[in-house]
Amino acid sequence: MAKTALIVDDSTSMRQMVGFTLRGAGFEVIEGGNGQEGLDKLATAGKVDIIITDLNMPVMDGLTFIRQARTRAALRFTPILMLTTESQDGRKAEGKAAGATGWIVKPFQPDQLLKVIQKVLP
Amino acid sequence: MTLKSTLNVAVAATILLCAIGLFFPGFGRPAIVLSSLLAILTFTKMNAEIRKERDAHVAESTAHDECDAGLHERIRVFEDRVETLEAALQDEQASAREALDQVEVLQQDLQNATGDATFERRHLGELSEGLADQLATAINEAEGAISTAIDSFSQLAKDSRELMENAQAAVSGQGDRAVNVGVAKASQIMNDFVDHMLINAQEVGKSATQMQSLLKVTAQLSELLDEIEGIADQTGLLALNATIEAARAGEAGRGFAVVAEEVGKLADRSRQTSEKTRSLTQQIRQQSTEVCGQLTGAANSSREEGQQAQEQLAELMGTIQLADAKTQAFLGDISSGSHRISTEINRTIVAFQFHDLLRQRLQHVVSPLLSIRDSYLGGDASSRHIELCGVGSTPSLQVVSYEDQSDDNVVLF
Repeated sequence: MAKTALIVDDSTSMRQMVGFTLRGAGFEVIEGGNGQEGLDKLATAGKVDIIITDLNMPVMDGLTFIRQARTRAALRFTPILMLTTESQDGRKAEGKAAGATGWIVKPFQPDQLLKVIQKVLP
Repeated sequence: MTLKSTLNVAVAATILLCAIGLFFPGFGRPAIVLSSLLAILTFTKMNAEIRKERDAHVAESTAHDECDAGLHERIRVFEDRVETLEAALQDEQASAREALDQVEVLQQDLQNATGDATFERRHLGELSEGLADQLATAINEAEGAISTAIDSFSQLAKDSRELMENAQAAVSGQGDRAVNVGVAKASQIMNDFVDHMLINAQEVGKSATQMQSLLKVTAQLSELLDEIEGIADQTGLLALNATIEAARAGEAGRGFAVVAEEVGKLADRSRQTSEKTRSLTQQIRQQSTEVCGQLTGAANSSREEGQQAQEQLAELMGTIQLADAKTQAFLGDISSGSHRISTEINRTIVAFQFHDLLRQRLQHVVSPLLSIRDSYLGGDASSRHIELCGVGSTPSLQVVSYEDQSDDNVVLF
């Protein structure tokens, strides 16, 4: 059975590129344009195998999204990777505190992204 | 009211109105005009009174000619004063006009200054809003264009991958592996068959050799038959001599003559048997020679055909191996092409992310522009523009490297 990935990013093109990479690796992909849309999609999907989210987004940012997602029992141990242009250590510490599993600074290499996903998948 | 007090009141009123005109630009022109009119009216009225008073004094002086010599003097002094006052009034009027002109200039400058500042503020606000609009439009249009390009690219990459996979499957798929296995098995069977034919040829060859040995033996048998016939001839002669001797011996040799006759018969039977045996032996030799020839021919034919089949099989296997080598080379090309396509896809995906970095950088420009617009024009212009993400730090485009394969940009918590 194919694994499911949720991609949350306000950039359509970024969602397309991450989605293309994951679909090529056999994932089923669902997308959200910001944190709130991501939570809505999670409410519909119930459970996903991995979440990849941007940090700076309108309506609800990535950190808030992760904090709220972690309050759901089904997502307590789901790997969540942040994919962002930000690279400051302070921001990474905030991501870790919010409950992120890993931090990837854009631009990402498709092979590298898939390798990281394989590492963090249960 | 005396002339002096009237004059003072008029001057004071004029100065007050000029001051009002200076400090309250809105009332400047009317106040100055009013003060000028007031001054002129006052002067006219005062002049009329002075003239009236002078005329009265002249009439009185005429009437009281020489009555009061000092009065003339007073009139003259008074006229001097009136002239002085007229001159002063004219000066004052000139001053008032000059002040009015200055007030008008100041008022114009003030209006210009106020108008310029307002105009500049509005211009800056509108300019900021226009720039923000342009940037927002550029971001949205670029996002749409990139999105379309990525859609096309994704389809192209997907088709390329499928094409390569299909080509690979067509060349090295399950069906062709079965064909390869079949060819290998047929080759083995053919090899076994050829080997078997060669072995048979060898066996036939051995049989032919053995037949030739048998022919040699039958030749020796012929010699033996010659010897047997010789012995039979000698035995016949011996039996004839014995018969002669028995006849010479008379009655005594009668029994011996019977023996000699039987020996003679035996010699004849031996000769007859030998002749029959020779005949049979010749038949055997003839047939054996024929069989030997056939065996030799068959052996030679089998060997030649086997060798020919072996050569053809070797040639066929060479062709198959060549085709297999070409297939392997083609597979290598497909694999290499597939790898190149994957590499190019990865590079393109990384390159497309440049737009996202650029978008965020432009949003960092749009946000302050909208703040400038709001501060000059008021309101909340940002609500009418693109949805700006929470403004984090400006992304550094310097870190972008499409060739960087390291994991420096990855942290796992």
